[in-house]
Amino acid sequence: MDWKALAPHKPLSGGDPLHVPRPLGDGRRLASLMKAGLGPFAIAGPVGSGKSTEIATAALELTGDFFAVDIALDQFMNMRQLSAANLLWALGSILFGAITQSRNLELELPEHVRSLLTGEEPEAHEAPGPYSDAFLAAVREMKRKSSTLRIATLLDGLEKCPEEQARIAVRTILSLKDEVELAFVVPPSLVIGPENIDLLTELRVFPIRPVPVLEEGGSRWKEGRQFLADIFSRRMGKDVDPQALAPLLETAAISSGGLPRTFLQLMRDAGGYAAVANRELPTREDLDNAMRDQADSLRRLLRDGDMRAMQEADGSDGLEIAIDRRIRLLTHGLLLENEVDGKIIVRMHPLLRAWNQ
Amino acid sequence: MRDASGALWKLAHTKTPIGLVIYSDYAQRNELLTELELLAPSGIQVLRATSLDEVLPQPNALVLLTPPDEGATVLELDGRREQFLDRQVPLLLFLLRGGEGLRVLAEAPGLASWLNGSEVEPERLQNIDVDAETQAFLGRTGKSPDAWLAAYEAGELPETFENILLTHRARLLGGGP
Repeated sequence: MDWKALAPHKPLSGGDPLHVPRPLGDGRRLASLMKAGLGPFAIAGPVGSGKSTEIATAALELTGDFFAVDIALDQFMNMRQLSAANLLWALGSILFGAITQSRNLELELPEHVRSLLTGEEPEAHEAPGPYSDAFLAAVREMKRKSSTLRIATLLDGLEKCPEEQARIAVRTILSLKDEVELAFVVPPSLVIGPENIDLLTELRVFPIRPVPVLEEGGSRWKEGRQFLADIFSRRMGKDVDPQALAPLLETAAISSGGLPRTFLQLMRDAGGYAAVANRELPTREDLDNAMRDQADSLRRLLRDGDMRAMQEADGSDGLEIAIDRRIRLLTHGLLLENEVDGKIIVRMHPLLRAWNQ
Repeated sequence: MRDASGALWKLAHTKTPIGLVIYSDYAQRNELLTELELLAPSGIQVLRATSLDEVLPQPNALVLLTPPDEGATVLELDGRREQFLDRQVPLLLFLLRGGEGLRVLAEAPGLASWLNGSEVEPERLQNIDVDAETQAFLGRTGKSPDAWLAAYEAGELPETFENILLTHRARLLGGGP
């Protein structure tokens, strides 16, 4: 049994046959909003909630109406060393390369602009101005050559930058908003709290939350559990009869808190424990061990006072938790948000709740 | 119950791209390095490394990474982790319990999320206070883990979320098969 096929850490590209539509259709909804010109959008959510996959889905949905480019910055750049100059270079060179190749446009650009767009990645300390000008000049030339051209750029990976770098990156991206439709993943620290008010006036937040898996997490909990079970079936293919594992899939879905990555990690690790015991399929004991491993990992991320703060906020909007703590807990997925009857409700991750009982 | 060797075996064989081994001291780290070399999947090369640049060209080797500066390596790995996405055999990063590497990891949510469930702390696995946890279970439910599991499997307990979690705990405490 190849449990590696579950690949919890691997986002899917747009149109991947393994993709399962989310109950709330997040990627498709984002695409609709972008088509309506309601952006720029800052996409935020806990780690492992499916942001990258949904961005790729949105990019695919936009094709036809837009020349849409989905750029996973983190796949070729060190996000901890990202500067405005090398961000602009990446955006410009990828867009320039993609559009000249696929649209066969003969762009009339000065040699120095062309060389910036096709040259080597700049050093982090280089001034961003020339790269910004090159981007704008190239996009305007593209539009001049193709008057119906609309460009959408969807960026993934900024959530991996340290906060201040992410803030600079977002400011840099927003400087391009008059030329292209934009959506980009950000760390939650950029869209929560009063210090971000200025930034929030320039963009809309598009949250990608865990899917509901508990009755208390919203009316679509059955769809949420089925969504996770469908991901499992799609990835494992004909190797496994999902009916044979239905109770385990249900328990793993509940224990994951609705985070697809956690769900897949639980099932992969349960499969790993089954392999240790020389079993083809995991048992409930194997899943319990996987749950224990996950809980241990989550507990290592806790700081003094976190459990009490989460207990006290459980079932509320969570606003009473001090902002720095709230951002950290939400980012790590230790505290999970769900929308219930139009209100945001926070809950402690189920595996921490289990440990705390 | 889980045990340290089983957890290490699983880590070396699960084909997760990156795993974490938490050690208490250098003597234990050396023992774990040796044990992992023995537990490596057959036919797989084992490589001891101290920097990520050594690891990148070796996607098919079981890499045991013991960096001299654990905090800096965690930061670097967090920034470059997508480059390790397609590893066929894990890169196992060794970090000191309570050390700088784990402190930095707690501030790197993306990497921490990747590692969830792929972390082994042998000392912790070897030192679970089963008696104390069993007493706590008895106090909470009025049943021993064995009795709880018997009742659960006989269908005497409703299938609530809380009961699922308690059943999970009962199994971890060694009740049942």
